[in-house]
Amino acid sequence: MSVRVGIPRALLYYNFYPFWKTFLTELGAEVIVSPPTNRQILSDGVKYAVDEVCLPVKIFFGHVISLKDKVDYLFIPRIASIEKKFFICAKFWGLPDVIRNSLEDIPPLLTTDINSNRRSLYRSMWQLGRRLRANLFKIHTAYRKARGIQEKFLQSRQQIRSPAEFLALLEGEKVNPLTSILSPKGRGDNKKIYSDINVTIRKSSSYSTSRLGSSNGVNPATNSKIGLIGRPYNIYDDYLNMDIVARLEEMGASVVTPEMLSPTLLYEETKRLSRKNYWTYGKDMLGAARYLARERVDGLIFLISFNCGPDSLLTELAIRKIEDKIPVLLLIFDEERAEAGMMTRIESFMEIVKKRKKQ
Amino acid sequence: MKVSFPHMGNYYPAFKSLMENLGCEVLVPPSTSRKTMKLGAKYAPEFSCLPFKINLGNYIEALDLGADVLFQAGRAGPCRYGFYGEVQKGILEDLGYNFRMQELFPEFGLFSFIKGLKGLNPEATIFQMTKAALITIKKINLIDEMEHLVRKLRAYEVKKGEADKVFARTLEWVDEARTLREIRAARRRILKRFRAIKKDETRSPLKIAIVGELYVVMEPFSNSDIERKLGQMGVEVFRPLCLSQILRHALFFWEYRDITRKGREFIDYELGAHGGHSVGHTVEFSKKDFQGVIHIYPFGCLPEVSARSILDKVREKLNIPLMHLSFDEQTGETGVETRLEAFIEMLERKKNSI
Repeated sequence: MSVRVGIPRALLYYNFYPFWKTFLTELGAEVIVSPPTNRQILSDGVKYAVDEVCLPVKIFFGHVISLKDKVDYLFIPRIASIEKKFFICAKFWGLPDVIRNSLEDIPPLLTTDINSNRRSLYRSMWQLGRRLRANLFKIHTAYRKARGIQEKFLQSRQQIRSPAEFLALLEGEKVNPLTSILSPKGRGDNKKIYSDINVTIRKSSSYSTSRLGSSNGVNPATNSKIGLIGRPYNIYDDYLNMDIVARLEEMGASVVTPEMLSPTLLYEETKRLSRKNYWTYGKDMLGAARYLARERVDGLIFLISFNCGPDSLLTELAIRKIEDKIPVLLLIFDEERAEAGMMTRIESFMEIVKKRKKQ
Repeated sequence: MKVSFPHMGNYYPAFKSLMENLGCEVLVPPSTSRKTMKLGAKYAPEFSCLPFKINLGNYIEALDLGADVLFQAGRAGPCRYGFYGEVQKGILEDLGYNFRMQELFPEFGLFSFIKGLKGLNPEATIFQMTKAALITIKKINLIDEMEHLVRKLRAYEVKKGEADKVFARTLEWVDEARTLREIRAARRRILKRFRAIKKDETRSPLKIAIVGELYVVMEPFSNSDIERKLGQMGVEVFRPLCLSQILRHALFFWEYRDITRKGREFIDYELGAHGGHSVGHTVEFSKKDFQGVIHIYPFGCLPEVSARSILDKVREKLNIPLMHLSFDEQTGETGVETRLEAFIEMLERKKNSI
């Protein structure tokens, strides 16, 4: 029987799942993902995590607990940096150590040190492969294949039209992203996936910049575009953010997220806003906020979770520095889930957006 | 051009001489007070960390007194600290102040501080910069040596509060010293003065270590003056983390890693900033003659919150009494005092029962 490896559906799952899944499956492991966040997961997380960590980490704890009896290994890499001179928030630095020390009787962790300031991703994944006792050739091909899939994912996520499509794309199975969401040019290219695996993120400048202006970027039945700015694990976790996407769409807005924009564009934009930013995901947020404000979305909503360190300063900077004056709403989530309060705020925000649009 | 900087602990003579030796006019901001913290908390983002708020308060007070260049250490690791300068600049500009923000480390890399020093005075020569840096480092080392003495003396002094008085007095001597030779002379005088304090050698006080986030650990105002409180209760305090240690680690970086390695039973990776050190030091102290460890950090500090989850396990496994204290602008002094008293009483009872 193959080894069962569990991936918690939280935090960087929303960025790297295609890569991780391909790599682990290629090495002969069976990948098990925890169920979407629910009440049980949240309350488990709140129970076991230190009370001062941010909400997404608490939810991560919950996912780990929900997986612990079902798997042989838990896949929790230590991710310090995925681009040179940029960092991931310090909470990810110690994540495997924190999990290992705070939870009792969990399966052994499958972890590797991903830190591109120190070593290449290839070496990190190599170590991981050795832990699973795979042979050298297998690790190599698995890495190349996973890298290719991840590239495709990054490329095609710029063509999505709604957060729901993003999740489908992430799963990779429900909707085949390579045929149904790709632009006509990329359609029928399935065989090409593995041939252009050498494309790196840096070369992504050739990707289409954004779908905003084009007709399929906007739901024709609606009249307002709202930019949702936040980390992927805040935007796409429907339980954490209390279905904000669905609620906005119900009110007749179409939602744009940072993942729909090209990485190069985000980098260019964020450089103009802040030269010193050194957080990879902070870069996405600042860049998206500036770009979307300029591109006349009708309003920006910042999604932050309570006690998120980087976001406390990043949103402050974004709100102060964006020159284009558009309505901005700051929503802070915590485990108390004050739904009515949030609804009121969204509703009045949408009223402002609509009124402003009429003028 | 008047240069000002935020306070951190008792290091202002060192910061001051750095800028003076580069040929700038220096304005030392009023020492940190309740008012500083209130000013900072009023304009800072809601859940930014405590050092951010106090820094901002220092800046506002300095700007009101006529400073026009503000100094900040700049670039640092994955935690929020490296981002301070930029956000504070935005906030202060929106408040209508006119100034320039100069960071000591405008970019990554060990030698980027040359750029930072040039920013303070573009005409500074390499000789001037070296001299300024040397004097600053010597002063920092001296201040740390004095603080170390004070922490120890508080537990032994016959007349309560004498060590603190001597410290306040001798800090002025450090401030007055201009050259390396004067610093050396001041050091001799200071050590002599400290030796003159009457000690009661028969006591065997509790020994407690303080670990945690660097700013809160070093700035007595932000941690409700925890060291002095412990000293007054007759506890000998040991604190490994100080500015001279940080400077040392900038040069001998393997020592930084070695401290984290001491905790390798519990952690495999660096937690960022000094989170790994909190764990490493606690493991180290549990094997030495320390009766307890106090872990302090600003509320929501990224690396230290990770360290906290791990430290709970360390306490359980190595059986060392450990207390966490997190500080923000709401922290009440009496609350801290009560918790400290309870902790000390517990340790004393434990010590006597053995």
